[in-house]
Amino acid sequence: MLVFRRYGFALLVLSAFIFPFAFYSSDVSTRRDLSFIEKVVYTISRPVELAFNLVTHQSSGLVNSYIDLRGAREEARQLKEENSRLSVQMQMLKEVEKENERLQKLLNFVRQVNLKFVSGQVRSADPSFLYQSIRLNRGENDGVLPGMAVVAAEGAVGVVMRTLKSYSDVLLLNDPNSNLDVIVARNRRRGMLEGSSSQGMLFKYADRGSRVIVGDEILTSGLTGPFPRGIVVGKVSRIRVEPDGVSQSIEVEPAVNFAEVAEALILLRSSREVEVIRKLGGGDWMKRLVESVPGRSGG
Amino acid sequence: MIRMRAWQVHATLMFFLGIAVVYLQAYGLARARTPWLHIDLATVFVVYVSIEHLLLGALVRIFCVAALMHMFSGAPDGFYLMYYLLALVVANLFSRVIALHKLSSQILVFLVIFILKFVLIYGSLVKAQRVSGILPFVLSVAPSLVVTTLLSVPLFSLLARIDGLFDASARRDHRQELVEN
Repeated sequence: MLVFRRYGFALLVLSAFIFPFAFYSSDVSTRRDLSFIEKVVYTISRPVELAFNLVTHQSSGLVNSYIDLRGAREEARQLKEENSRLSVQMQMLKEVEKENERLQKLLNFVRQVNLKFVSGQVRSADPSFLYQSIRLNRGENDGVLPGMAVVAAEGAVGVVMRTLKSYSDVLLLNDPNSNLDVIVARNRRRGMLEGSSSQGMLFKYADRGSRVIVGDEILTSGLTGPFPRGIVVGKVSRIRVEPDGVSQSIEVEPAVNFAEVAEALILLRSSREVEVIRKLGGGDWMKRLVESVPGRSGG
Repeated sequence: MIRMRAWQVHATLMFFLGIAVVYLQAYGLARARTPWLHIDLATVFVVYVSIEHLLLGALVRIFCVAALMHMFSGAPDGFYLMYYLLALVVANLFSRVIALHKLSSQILVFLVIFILKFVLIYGSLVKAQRVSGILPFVLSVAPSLVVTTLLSVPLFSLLARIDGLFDASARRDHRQELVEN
């Protein structure tokens, strides 16, 4: 104790200045299981978390009830109108569906298996304000596993990066560590969508000869990762030629407003690659997964 | 019934205050739609305990806050521990060199520590090749930096006031225990 009093601060200064060298020279990943210390701290902090859960849930419920009441009449009128319009559309679509089924049989297409999912409510967001993740109130008890896809009504949201008994942390698509295999809806050209802390998402590594224009819709490819094919991810919002004059930076505006996501669906279909690596990789499966793909994640 | 000494009550209270600060940041401020509400309460708390508390106690609280922040965040492993250790050292060094009772010097300390945070984050993003330029990054973090720096001094005073409710008796108690030993 006396030694700590005498040399504690000097040791701390030394370790504080050595730490960054170790941090930046090693390849540290973002996602992994909780360490023993984190589990202990989390267990101690559970009552505080439950209190915050209760307060935020109640307060958001009150606010939502008030907003719902204010716009209820107008919304009812709009819904009636929309209902009539949709009824007509549905009748037309039934015909299209029948025709589609006939064509699929003709072409020997395999029908996609219906996806199972659980819906979860967003409880908290990333307190760093720069990295982008959310916590949903669904976890291992509900069958959620790391690597599963998360979607909202508007489109793709992110990938489950960590699970606890009753919570799961989702890495959003605009997080700097996120990667997603995507296609351009117009010409089916493939590329990689990367999160960027300041610019939303960037479309990179496009196929040779791909021509991308502003307004192009970007969809999940379904070829790698947990997302099924064809889920909307966003639209190309800006194309900039880099200072080298050769490469270009393609910015994509997300279809989902991540700040406003209150509920999301977790698709209970794990990524094929994640499943294989998890089975073969043992305790270090996440580290191996990160190392196995270019960039840093397995979205 | 467990009987606790005043300094133990103080230590426990500050420990749970640290936890509550992280939860408030994750459950409340981080979910705000405007970046002008992205106030980094956890760093203010870390700076406060770094300056005002004994080194060992401050270290324990900082470890806990770092562990919780990491649990909520997508930041790389060890990032918060690195940042808070540096914040502790910088805050302590500043408190030895300049008079921290002046408003301008308090703001300076906080500004340096917040800028340090963004420099560390920028470094980790550059390493992962995830930023195309410094200007968009600066623009994206500017609201958080400005609002946290402006509010850091009042928040620091608030923490001092909460701490002061328990601190006087705790220090007396602690000193007495040291004398007895």
